Amino acid sequence: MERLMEREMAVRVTGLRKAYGPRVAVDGVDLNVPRGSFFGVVGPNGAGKTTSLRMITGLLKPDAGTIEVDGINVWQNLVEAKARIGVLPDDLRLFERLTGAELLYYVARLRRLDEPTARRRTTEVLRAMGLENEATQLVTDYSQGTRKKIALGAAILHVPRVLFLDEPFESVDPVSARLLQDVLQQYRAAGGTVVLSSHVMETVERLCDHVAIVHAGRVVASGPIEEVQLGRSLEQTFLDAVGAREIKLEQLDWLRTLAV
Amino acid sequence: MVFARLKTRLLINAARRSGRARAGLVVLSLVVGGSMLSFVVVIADAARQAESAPRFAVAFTTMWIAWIGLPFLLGGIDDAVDPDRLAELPLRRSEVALGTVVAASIGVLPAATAVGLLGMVVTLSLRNPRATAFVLIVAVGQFVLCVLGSRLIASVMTRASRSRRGRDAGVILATAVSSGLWMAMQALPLAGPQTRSTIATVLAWSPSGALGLAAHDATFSRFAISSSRLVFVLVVVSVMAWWWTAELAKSMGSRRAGAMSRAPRRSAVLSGKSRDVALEGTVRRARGRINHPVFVVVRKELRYLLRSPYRRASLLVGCMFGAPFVLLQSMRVDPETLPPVAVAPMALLFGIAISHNLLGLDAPSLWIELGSGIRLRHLLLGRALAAAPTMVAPVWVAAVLTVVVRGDATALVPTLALSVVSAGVPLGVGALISVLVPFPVADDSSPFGNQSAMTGRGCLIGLVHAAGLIISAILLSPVFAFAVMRGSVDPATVVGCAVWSAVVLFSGTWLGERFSDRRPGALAETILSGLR
Repeated sequence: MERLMEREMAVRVTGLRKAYGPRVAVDGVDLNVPRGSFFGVVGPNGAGKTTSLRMITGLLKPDAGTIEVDGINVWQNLVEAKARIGVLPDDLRLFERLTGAELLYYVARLRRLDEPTARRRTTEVLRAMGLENEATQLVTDYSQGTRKKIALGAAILHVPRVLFLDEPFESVDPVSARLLQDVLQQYRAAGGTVVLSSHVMETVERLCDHVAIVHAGRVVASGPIEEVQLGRSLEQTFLDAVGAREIKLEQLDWLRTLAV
Repeated sequence: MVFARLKTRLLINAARRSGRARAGLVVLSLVVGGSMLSFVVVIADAARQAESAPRFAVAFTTMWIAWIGLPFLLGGIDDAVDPDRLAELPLRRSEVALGTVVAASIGVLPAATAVGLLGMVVTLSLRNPRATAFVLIVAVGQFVLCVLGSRLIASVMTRASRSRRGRDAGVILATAVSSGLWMAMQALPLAGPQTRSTIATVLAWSPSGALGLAAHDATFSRFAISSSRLVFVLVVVSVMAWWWTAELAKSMGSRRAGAMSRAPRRSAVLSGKSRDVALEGTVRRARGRINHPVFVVVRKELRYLLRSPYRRASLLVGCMFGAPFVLLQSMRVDPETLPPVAVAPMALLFGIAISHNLLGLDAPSLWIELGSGIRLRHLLLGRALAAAPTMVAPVWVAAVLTVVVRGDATALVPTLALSVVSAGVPLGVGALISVLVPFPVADDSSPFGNQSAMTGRGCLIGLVHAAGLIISAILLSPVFAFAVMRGSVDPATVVGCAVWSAVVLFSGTWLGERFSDRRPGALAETILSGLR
């Protein structure tokens, strides 16, 4: 049973925990991401999504818990695990003084692709992302959407088994967002697994077949999206799970002075 | 090899980006080229005398400190190939360590260092051909020591900078060590032969000092002693390398988990507010109490004085360097002609940098202030007033220390008063400079690592500071001439200085606004784009 689970799951997380002094950011997260799935992680601001993803991708050491990606224990075989994953973090720390083409090339080389392959894939990624005209511009001069595209390109260059994306569509225009989604769908159709965190429920609902709702450092609901939704919209499911907060009439009453 | 090409490409692209970057590169080349030439000249001269060991030790230690200490004052240690940016890649710790050392060995400063050390090898080999192998090992050791030392400091300090207390402790420790060694070198010309010998003995226990002495011993054919010093350095370098790779492993597994987890923002997190929302709240509350934008800016800036990593570091560095510097200068003063504490205002030198970059500091939140419709001269005036404590604090600390050590408090109060009222002059000059040449500093970044190092940016900042300092000195000269004419710092001098400072301060902010109006929109864009 355990072996079967191992084969079927691209990511297995058990009892993940992280605290910053007295503040517990992640409090015993358990996650199972099926192989070949499009897995959405949703939750309010500060729920622990980013912290969890960083621990899963080997960027932040957890206080407790085990993480396996593609059958590899991430924190016991960090280099091997990182070779199997691609990451699009939310803060996008890139080499700003490289051009887009140079950034892709050097990431490919640092990921041990040989020179001709690195050059070929760089050209192909730039073309697929529609970045041929921006290829010679410095990354520092890119718009936020272009930065996301080039960072996604850098994340898929080595054909990872699992792709982790933290808020991939934030600050991205609809045309670029559709392009990114097409790339992700193509990657998934080839057998890849995508884990993404987002606040945009419509996007998660449309793209993902599995979802986990994270609240206050814990997973409050997880599974195939239809099972989690139970006939409701994902937004309603989310609000029911985390508890919506409504503004009272007397709050911000000074806003009504506009009419005076 | 990939790391070497990556670093070279980063440097070429930085130079291509703007005329300012190219100018910076030229200035950097001139400064480090001149410094290395001086190093070779000092070594060549010292190699003529057998008793010149202290000069060797001091020259080598100066070079080492310049590598790891000066960046604190000029924008941070070279961190162009920042290991944090490689965290997502499947690279072993040893690969990252070797790669970042290789990358750190490329640039104007490493190239000039290599040339300087090669010059030393040639000079000393001509003097004693049998010492060539030893001197060559010394040169390689010094180069490795400089690169490894700067990488170690950058890693340790960047990791420490993730908590406020750790950052402060790191700044104090690093500045204390740097200023201690710097003061020892400053004291060398004042010292007699016995003291010089003591300094050489002390520096022999620092790795760079030991290398200098190893070169000296080899030049005078004391090969056994030279070998023992090289073994000592090898042990120290090994320990440093082990420590650094351990730090690298820790930092690569502790990438910040979202901006909100960082200590400087904890208070905002606990109160459930984002930084900008908290800032807007502060501005709103302050406006209710004192209804003038200048005071709103002052209140906000004073909070940032304690919270912004860069400003806290500037304040600590200014006090840690300023106090011993003034104390040393007071030793040169004859108490019969001038009270020793009267030289304390020289510590303004260590706090003046803040006045020349009033808009570049805390630049990410500048859009809130510029977008609120505040007049630029009010913004400049508020920021200048709030910067005054950072400038004056080193003077006060230095004055108190000088009084404690020299035991003469007669001129303490006038000196403190004069330092406060005269601060308006550099602040007025700084307000204008801040508009003309802003250098954006992200307030949430580490003050120790610099992704734009080796591009000459630090040298340009140094030139701007030097120009500002000269202008301020010229503008302050009437005040000091007046004090000298009257033979003391009396209330009339203080009042006169206060009036003159106010005139310069208001003129500087007014001129800053006028210059900004000539290029509408460009100022904010320059500052904010410089952060990316």
